[in-house]
Amino acid sequence: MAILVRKFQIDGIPLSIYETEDLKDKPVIFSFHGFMGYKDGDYFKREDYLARLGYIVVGIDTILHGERRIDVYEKKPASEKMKDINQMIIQSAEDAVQLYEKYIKYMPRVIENEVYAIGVSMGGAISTYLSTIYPLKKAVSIVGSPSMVEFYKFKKEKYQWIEDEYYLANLAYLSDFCPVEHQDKIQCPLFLTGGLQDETIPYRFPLMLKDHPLATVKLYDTPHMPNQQQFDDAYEFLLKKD
Amino acid sequence: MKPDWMLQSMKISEEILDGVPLTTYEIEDGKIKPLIYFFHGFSGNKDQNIMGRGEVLANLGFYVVAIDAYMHGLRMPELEKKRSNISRYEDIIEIVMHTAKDAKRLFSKYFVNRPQVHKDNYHLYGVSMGSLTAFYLSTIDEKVKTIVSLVPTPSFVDYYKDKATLYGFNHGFFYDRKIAYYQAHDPLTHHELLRDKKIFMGCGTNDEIVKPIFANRLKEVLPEVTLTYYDTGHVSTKEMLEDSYEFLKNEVL
Repeated sequence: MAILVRKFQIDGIPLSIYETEDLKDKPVIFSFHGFMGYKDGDYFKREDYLARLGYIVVGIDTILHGERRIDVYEKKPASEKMKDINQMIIQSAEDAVQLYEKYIKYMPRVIENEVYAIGVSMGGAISTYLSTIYPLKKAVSIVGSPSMVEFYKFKKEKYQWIEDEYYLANLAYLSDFCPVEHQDKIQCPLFLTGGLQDETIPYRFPLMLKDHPLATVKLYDTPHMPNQQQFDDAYEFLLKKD
Repeated sequence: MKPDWMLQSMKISEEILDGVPLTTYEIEDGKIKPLIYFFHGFSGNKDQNIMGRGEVLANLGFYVVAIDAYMHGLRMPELEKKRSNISRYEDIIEIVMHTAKDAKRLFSKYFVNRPQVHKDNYHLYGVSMGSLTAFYLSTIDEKVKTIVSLVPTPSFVDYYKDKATLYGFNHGFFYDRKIAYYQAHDPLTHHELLRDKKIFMGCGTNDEIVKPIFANRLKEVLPEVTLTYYDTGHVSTKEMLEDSYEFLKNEVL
């Protein structure tokens, strides 16, 4: 069956909506891209696949990414942009909630209040954070970090950021939002993957939720680039009837 | 002989916090100062539209933070540059709400940590669309104490409907959903949240762009606000500016 793709912007947020060309009602799944990526750039074409599985797939450009990039920010090196990654995660999750509550749940064929989330790397972190602020049905994080605070400390060491006002302000602020520090707010089944060779987001980060009763963590012998098996396992997790 | 403030050093700095470009103005005199945000109008930016107010407010004793509104100035992405002004106007309330949330977060995350800034509260100075940002921010952050609004509107819904008629916005699903959302967050509808704020509104009697009717409605429900009319259109006059500074001197400094 053909996939219908609609690309437009609402409230200044560019989004792509993928769904099969039939008249069936469907649940919505948000699909979040990674750091420095954009909404239609997934190597594994997961939006097409998820649409064929029966979802209305909504991809959005994270703030300062894709068609939301601004010149003054693009001049910064990646190590400087990384200092703002957690704000990007928080803002994207809030954007998704607002778009869903304001528009998407009223759109044709949308089964109201059946919302899922999936994302890769930074997008996985958005999925996990979204599960702490919105009643999702299920969420998937592929090679993402559920931690904001410890992850921020890890990046400080990696990029040798100085411990200045900016770093300390972010570290203090993140403590109120970090899904690992507020695990009680995770209200839906969560599937997290990690790569045993991943040096960008080491697998110790997804393992931080291994004891959460709603979390399933699975490790793969991969670097930060996930393999098809991780997606296949994620799709199986999403489709499994509880 | 120069007045004292001209002998002191004015520091003007540009920085980017959380991806939000801003300009700060302060007199380097070692004193702890009240922070005041400057919010510019639609299609403006933080530097061209402040027109000397940053220096004046800093000289009065404020730590001034002028920020580019969401999708304005240095925050305008290429996608946005391709839209017509009327098309962009359809998102004016989202621009206002996003900017207000940015300002609230930047104060609690960064500015409270600066030794020269008062930590307990802050103040707002908004022009045109910037006034609406100030009114909305006041409804979501109890730390806001004072609002100066020039050629202002505190209304989301009625103001948006007025512009929709004027500019011929497309009606239908998205328009209806926007109106329903604005209703839930409208500062004029939720004016009780503004009751403990000190508010100055300066209106042009001949203003056809932001009609004084919206400021009038706030005055009707909150009689204690200061509403002053000036024989002008949609511009900040010298007299309006002087009255706004006098208001801040009396209420804050």
